[in-house]
Amino acid sequence: MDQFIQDFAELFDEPGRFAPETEFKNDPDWSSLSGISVIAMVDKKYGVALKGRDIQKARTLADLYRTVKEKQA
Amino acid sequence: MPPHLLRIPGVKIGGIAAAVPTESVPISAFGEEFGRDYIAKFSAATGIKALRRAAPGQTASDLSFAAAERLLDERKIRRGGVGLLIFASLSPDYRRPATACVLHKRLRLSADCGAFDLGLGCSAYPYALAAAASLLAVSDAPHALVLAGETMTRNINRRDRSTVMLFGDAGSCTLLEKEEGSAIQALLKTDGEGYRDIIVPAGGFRNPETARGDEKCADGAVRSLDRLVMNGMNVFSFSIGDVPGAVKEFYGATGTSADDYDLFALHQSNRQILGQIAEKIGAPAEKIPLCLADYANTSAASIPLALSAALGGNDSPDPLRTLFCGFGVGLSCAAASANLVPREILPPAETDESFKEGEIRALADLEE
Repeated sequence: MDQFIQDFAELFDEPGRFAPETEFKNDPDWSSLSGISVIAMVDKKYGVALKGRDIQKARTLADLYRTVKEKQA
Repeated sequence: MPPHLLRIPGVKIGGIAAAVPTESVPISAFGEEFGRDYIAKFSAATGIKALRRAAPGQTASDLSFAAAERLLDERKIRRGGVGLLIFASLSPDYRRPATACVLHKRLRLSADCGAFDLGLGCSAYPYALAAAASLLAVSDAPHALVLAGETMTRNINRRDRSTVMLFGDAGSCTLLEKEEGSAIQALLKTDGEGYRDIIVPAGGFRNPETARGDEKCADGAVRSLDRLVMNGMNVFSFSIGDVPGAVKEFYGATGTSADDYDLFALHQSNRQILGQIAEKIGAPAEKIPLCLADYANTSAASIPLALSAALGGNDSPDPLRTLFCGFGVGLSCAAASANLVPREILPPAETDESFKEGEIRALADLEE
């Protein structure tokens, strides 16, 4: 989980603010471009293809991490 | 089950030309409306620096017509030998007739010639190559034409920051010829589940009313039902997952690998997507023509435009083994292979001309 948070945070300019309970889509820097960066990062580092709805459904970063793990399984 | 590969013998690509309108809009021009920060991020991710915008009254068929006239003249093709014209586009001149019929008249082709439209967008080019080559292979005609063009700037909502800087306008013409020993192969794929992921919901017969107001969406972008609405995340996911998957299937079905190709003619969606696809299909960057910086994503025209920009003016007679891949609205994707001879490819031309006779603004204009 810590690694995932770090990988996610690296997509943003000031990465210090992210934690498992962060509701990432409420972040002021979040945009549809960020969603695309997340899909690219997960594809590259975790080898799975997230769809738009996977990101829509996830509220927190922990939710998103759970989806990634489920897809890997 | 093995993939349904199309093997089309005895047909080759005999030339490509492209045309763009003269007006070049730099992405920086959108800075005031969307913020310089957003523009910088957008440009860094997509590789787009400028786009071409069609002149008032100019259509995708005008741009494709200009490319076709030039190609037929340069390659000295007898017009009576053209047995088929396919116009591959989602930017038709009219609701009916098929724009291919208008182009048939303008290009002075013979009555002994089939002409129809192929309604796909970013995947249209390899689809149209496959369709035209298949028909040509079983026809007595020596030549077929694929005209692929779009005026995407008219399909988008100018206030939609997620699409307005992504797309530009262009037209193209590709000549197909009979040649013994040549072959074109193709693999056509569809994910109909994604039909809503790139859509203009209004203006068709399910939802004919086109006058629609703008709405501000959850992601901050402004959109409307009468213009392109794109689910960027789903399209991205399709592009970096299903698309390289299709190319790998194509490798498997044709018994080829990345090393067997000199050139990878990929739909110019955006740089980030192209980079990810290239990595997965083993395509080295120097073998991928790119024209995003100057022309943005021109949908159906993007592959021939990229080839025209990269190879036009090169007088090498040596064929390049080329892999084509187009993907997008549908969701739809096709991979194909054919040889290209650089000296048969013309550099992009600029034109603002349009078909005045076609501007039917009053019923009186239709009177004989």
